[in-house]
Amino acid sequence: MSEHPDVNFEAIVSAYYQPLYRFGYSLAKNEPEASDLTQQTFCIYAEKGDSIREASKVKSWLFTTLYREFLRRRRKDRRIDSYEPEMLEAASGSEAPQVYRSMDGNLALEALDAVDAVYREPLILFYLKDLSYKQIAEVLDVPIGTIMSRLSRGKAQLRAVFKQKTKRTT
Amino acid sequence: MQHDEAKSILSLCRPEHRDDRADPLIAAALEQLAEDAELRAWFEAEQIADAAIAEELGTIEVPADLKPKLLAAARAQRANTAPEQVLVFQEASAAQSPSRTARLRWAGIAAMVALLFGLTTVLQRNAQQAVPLTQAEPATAVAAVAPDLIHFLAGQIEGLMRGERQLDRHDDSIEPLTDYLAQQNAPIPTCLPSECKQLQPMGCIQFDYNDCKLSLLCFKGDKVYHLITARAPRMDCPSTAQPQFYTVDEQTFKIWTAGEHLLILAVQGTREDLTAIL
Repeated sequence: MSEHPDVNFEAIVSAYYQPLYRFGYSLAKNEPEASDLTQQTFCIYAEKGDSIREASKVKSWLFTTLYREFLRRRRKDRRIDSYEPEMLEAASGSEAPQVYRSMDGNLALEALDAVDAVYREPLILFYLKDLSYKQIAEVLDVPIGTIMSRLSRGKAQLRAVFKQKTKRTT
Repeated sequence: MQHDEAKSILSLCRPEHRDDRADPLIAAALEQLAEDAELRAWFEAEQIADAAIAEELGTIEVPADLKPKLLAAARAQRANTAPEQVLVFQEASAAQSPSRTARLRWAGIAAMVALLFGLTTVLQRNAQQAVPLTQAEPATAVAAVAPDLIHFLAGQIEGLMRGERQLDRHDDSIEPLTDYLAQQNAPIPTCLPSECKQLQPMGCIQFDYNDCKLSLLCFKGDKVYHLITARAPRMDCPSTAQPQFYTVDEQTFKIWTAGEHLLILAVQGTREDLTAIL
């Protein structure tokens, strides 16, 4: 992608490690896993990044890779080989206890956690402001129309929750 | 553009986000603000709320030592996965000798490597041309070319497994499920594939994919299986009576056409898990 891969690689890390970490933190809700997800993403990039032909695709590729890595880990953790409807319902409320760093985006993350799960990831990417809505659709692998409706409904839910939480803390 | 449509599009526009404002769809909706006072008031309130949440999320602190750690780890990774050609080059450099014999030896090795590489490439190409995405090819080999529809379904099924989505209907017999789907004008298979006949129905759900309805029937055996039905002419998938297999995110999909329908059988597992239920 560049004449000197190391220079190019460092530039990519510098440009994207912070937004990727914040995305990882918003998903995993703890610092060690967020760091690990970010590191894993760049390790995969170090191995396979040369195959990305267009520089403009790097950002989406990194976010997609981090998101897939997060899903892969969650799947490995849970390994739901078979499920009953009751199990599905239970699973939606069976998130591991969250370990937030008390000072970091706490209120927003708490509010996001109270939103229906299907809206959470589009909302995180939307409010992190690093990707366009088209890129968000690409990262989450859903059609653009679906992202638009999820954002619209999710924002309504989130605003209500956020307002309540802001009131409580002030 | 209708008022509600403009609202929906404007909700995608983040405060002080130049790229959002440059998007043609959003730019068109922004123009409407000048003519619609109610829309303008709503948009201003929306922007204030969005800014507050984005600001809060932006306060997530990134550990100060993260960047050097990332660079070190990724460089180590790179070093470990350097192509063989680089290693050959390094060995060759270290062995630089004025001796003609040594140079000839390296030239011979290089020629052998080139020959082997060429031969492997030709063999691989021939193999791919002979069995393109058919049953004869391992499922994992075609994962990279899975159509968008398969990626979409992998995401939807993942959502179900994680409990983020619920089935529309639960029932342990098939008729109430297909009746429900028919009422929703969702496609249903003309007859159930043999794989599913021995499985216990669990429920169903319908999806929209690129403005087309898809139905998903959920079955239980040793694992959970999903049968997805779509109206074949409306899908951007290869249409074939010969089943094709794809693996995406540890899910395996078997896809084939039956009459006017595109049928997809999916399982969280390997191709063997799909054939095991036959």
